[in-house]
Amino acid sequence: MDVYTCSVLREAINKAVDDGNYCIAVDVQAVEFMDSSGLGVIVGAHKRLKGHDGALALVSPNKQMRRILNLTGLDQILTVRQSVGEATASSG
Amino acid sequence: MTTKDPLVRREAELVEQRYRFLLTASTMLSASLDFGSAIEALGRLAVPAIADLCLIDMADFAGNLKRVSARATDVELAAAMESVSPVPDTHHPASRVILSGEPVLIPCATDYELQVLAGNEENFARLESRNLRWSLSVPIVARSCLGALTLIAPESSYAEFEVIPDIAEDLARRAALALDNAKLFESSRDMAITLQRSLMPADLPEIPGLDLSARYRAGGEGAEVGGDFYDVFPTGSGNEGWGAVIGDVCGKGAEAAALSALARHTIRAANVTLRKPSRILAFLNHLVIQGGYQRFITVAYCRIRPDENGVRLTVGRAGHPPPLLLRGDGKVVALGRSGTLIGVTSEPNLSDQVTQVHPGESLILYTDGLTEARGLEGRFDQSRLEQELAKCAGWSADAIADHLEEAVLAFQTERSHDDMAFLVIRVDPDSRPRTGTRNSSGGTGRKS
Repeated sequence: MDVYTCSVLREAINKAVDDGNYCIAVDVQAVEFMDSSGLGVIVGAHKRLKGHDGALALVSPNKQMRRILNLTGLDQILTVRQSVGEATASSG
Repeated sequence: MTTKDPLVRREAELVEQRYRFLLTASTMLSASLDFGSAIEALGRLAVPAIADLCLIDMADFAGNLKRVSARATDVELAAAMESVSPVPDTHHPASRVILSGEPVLIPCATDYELQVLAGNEENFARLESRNLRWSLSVPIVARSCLGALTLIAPESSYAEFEVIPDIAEDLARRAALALDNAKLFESSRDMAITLQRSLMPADLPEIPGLDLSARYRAGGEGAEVGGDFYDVFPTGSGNEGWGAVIGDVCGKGAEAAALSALARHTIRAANVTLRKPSRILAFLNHLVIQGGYQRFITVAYCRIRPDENGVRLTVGRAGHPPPLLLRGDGKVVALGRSGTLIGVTSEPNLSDQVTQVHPGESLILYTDGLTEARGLEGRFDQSRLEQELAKCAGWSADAIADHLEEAVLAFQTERSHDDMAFLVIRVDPDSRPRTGTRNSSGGTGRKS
């Protein structure tokens, strides 16, 4: 999830929000690497959902992604879960 | 089209060749992003395809022609012709082209015409011995520049090809367009560089007892400004303390640069009333949230206070990778605690961590362009950065910066899209900042 690929996620999230979904869980298990552009998409989505009283959850981030989420303090702001079921349960 | 008539067939072949040539020309010329490579492409297109020797002369602001390129199948001839610009107010075909705006064709130059074209006796001999008496000059007219393309070939070699002037003119038109684009690209790159310079000090300050070095490498193609910034500045009057900051605004372009500049100067200004890095970062966060900026910023801020044991360091981090401390024994320590990046929430979680830095030890601040540089073995990463740093114990700030830069450049296999900035601050090994005999004009301590 870097400068070349992150637009795919941005568009998917934007479409989901446009369709009226404000609590979104993103399964990031298959993401091997996230750079600051990927982080930009996550932060942008968080801000957008927050504006609708919604929430963004990330599911199964790998070690590198967890490290970045910790480094940026985003693990305190976003919901990070181990499975989609867990994420949807916690967001009600 | 098939025909038995060899003359008609020949003509059809020529037309086809011509289109193929001009298509190649357009592709090569439009791929040139700077003036020099557009000129180079033009020469390569002309020689040997349509001439033995190709001269390109461009007018300067006063209208005088300057030879910017000479290309020939014969390297020695090219070098000799490249060094002579057309003499003003002569009958040089390039000068005539500039004055009239019309092509000048000389099918068989007289000795006088050849002398003017050659520029000096040695070159006259060179052209004469090769019988290069055919020449065609065409104007290169673009919005931002004016010049002439001169093609030179042996006498009578093009007697039967009347299409050559057409092709040359067409080529010069395409070149003019490419040169214009290149100039445009260069001016937007110059603007980007100017903007970029506002994101870091032109010169690092001279600080008694500290040895500083910084490196910055722009990522991408160069016309886009990055969001990396750094600064080192006094936090009070006199020698009581210093602030060192490095940060990265998400994304690139003028908007990212504007936010970087805001961050850099806000941090400086906040020092007038605030001391703790966490408080200064919280203040910046407040302004960014309030300003409604859509981007976020990561920042590492270090407050540096010289004391009798070296330097007392207070580190605050907002989403930024940890500054690294290189101990005297080569041990590398990551500093500060993870804190929330700037511009995401109005209630960031920020904290300070105090560390003692001893004489001879170094502090390294960097952006993720360094740790995320991509090589055959994956990313450069913080662990590799720490390994490389460990080799630099006791070195001067410049030597450490050089080593890190070389290590990451050797590692990375592709030019990074991201910018890379880092700052090395070393406490002088003989540092006695409060009571010492050093003065600020010293500049010793650059060598270990």
